[in-house]
Amino acid sequence: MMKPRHKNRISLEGNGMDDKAADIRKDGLVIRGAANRDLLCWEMKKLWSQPMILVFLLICIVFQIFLAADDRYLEPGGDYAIYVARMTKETGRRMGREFTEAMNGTGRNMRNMDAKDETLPWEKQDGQQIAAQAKVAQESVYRQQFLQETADREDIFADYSCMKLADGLLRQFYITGWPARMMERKYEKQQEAVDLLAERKDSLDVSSAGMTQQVADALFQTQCRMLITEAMVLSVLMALSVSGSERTAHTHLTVCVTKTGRKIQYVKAAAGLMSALAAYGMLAVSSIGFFALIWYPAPDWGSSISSQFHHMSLAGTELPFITWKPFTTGEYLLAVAGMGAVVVMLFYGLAFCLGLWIKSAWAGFVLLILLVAVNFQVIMMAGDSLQWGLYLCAQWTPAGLWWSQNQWFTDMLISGAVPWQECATAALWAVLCLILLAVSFHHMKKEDIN
Amino acid sequence: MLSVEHVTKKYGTFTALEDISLTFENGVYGLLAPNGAGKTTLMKMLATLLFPTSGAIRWDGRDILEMDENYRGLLGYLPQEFGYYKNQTPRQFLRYIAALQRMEKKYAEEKIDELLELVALSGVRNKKMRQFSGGMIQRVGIAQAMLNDPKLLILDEPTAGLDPKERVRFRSLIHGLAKDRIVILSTHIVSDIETIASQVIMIREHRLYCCDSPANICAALRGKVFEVPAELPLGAETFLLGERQGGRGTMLRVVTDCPPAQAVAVEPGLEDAFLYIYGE
Repeated sequence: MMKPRHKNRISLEGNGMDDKAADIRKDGLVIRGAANRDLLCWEMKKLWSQPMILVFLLICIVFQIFLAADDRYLEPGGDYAIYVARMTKETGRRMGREFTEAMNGTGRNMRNMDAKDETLPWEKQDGQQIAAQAKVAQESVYRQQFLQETADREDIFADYSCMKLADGLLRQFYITGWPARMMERKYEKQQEAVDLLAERKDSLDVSSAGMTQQVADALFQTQCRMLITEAMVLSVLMALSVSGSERTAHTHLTVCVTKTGRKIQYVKAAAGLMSALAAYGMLAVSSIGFFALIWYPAPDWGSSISSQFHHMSLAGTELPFITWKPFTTGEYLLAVAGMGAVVVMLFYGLAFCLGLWIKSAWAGFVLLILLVAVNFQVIMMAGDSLQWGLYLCAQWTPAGLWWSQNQWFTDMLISGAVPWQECATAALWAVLCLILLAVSFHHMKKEDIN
Repeated sequence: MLSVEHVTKKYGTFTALEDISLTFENGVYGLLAPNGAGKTTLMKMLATLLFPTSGAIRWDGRDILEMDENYRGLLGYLPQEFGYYKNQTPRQFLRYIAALQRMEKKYAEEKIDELLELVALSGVRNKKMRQFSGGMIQRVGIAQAMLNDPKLLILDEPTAGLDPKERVRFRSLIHGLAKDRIVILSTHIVSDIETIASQVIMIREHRLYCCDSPANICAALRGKVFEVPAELPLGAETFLLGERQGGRGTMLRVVTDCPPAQAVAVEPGLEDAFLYIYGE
């Protein structure tokens, strides 16, 4: 057997080895793995060296910080939420007899509270007597508000009927046929979830009392929605950039003729995906981290997301926030963050496929925007014309998944046909995306490169 | 040995190349044809960028498409429009290509230094390529094509856009590289291959016209190429190749079987053959 002159060059002259055998030689595999890792680093470096990516990411982080600060400091009620969070450390988070007794206990001790060093670190700097007195007065107001908001609360899930909600929705929106049957089945399933919440008495969690909805909206409607949207856009830009970068630089001919050849697109796909998820992670950590810092010690991460102070809205009506399984606020945030990562991956995958077919980053971006716009147009028109079958089907898209972010892991009201619809949509599109990617890669290997 | 066996390339109803058969062994092959004749199409098929509509291209008897990366590992390619990353230095660019060629880092560094020396770019190895001239970029191109020490070097119009000095330098470089490999060089500039190609391949009307040494191609016109004063009328069977300014006025260079009285016979060159073959 002839040894090749160098282990990077496979000699095909009379060594009796065919290509496959050469490929599975031990040092060949090591080289291939190390080479792919090396290429992965190169592709990530090329992607992150583009000013557009870094500038966009930085702008997003700054924007998220401004959003969080706006909700905390410019909207009223932020200090009350923090007061509630501090109180529930003493009273517990579950309304009821023990809670009431604890509240009475805190009332007796209230005159001593300002003698204890209960102030937050930055408040210590303000050691003026007037400020201290104003603080006590404010806390007295907050306490009254807290007492009023938590007085005589009952478990809203104890006698809750999901089928009654279903009937109401079907009548109000004139939903008939198979969409109506699917919704009825969905709400039958939801009754099990409600019964479990009733058993656990999750609706009696104080959370942030009267500020719960505002804090939840600030966290999930504003921070999380914007974070996922920004990461989604960035992932699309990254996908289109990475799949088309060689054509942009006119290096595609040179690259495709190397030993790696067209398979560089596999490495690029991986590099872009890792970069998109890293960017999402950076955005998530910085924005949620900042949010948690400025709202500390609120929100109560351990309280139920289905507290009676937290609701969904539909046509001006407030409905309980019922998830398919019980979540604490912290768990729900993690679940939303996880699903957000899936949305980022889906949009990345679709954009990468578009990039492979269309070969123009701008055209790909415009086409994707167009597809999303058409999706939303279909949803709106179907809803307006009471075409509920079409309306429900149009929700089963990545765009529909992204748009329903504030209702993930709930029944999704009239937008949901089945339990855990967001998970089903994500799973369906993950499979479709993989198929599309496989077809795209296969096409790329067989197409002429000009 | 590289063999092209009855290769045809069609784009819909348009035939870019028809029934091309060629064999290549070590040496320099010049692919000479006017623009649009199919040179780049053939080069790209040899480089696996395009797929033949019919026929096969084989390396030592094995289909190059089946060989996949093992063939591309033997190949060095300089495209007609060589792209590069403006913000990279030649060293960074060559490192990237070395990674694509799956070369060991230490070996790649040595090879990069050697090649930058060869193409006279050692002094600017760490300078961003956005500051390079066209000739310097082409030299980076030849360096990347040579990085994996290829057995087959395909250069598609490598001297396009270069000034005469750069073209001479390029020719010398190619001549030096051709010792133990196949070099296929496509051009429509005759002087690029006249002195370095051992075989000239000409494509006409999308078919192979000839594959022969420059001497044999020129020999076909021996005794038929003349220079005549411009004021003389040309016969119907006379083909005009060109004109030049002589000591006694404008002289026309023609191909004819019946030279006029004042015609002076000249030795036909490859350019004469090119103009005659493609002018008919």
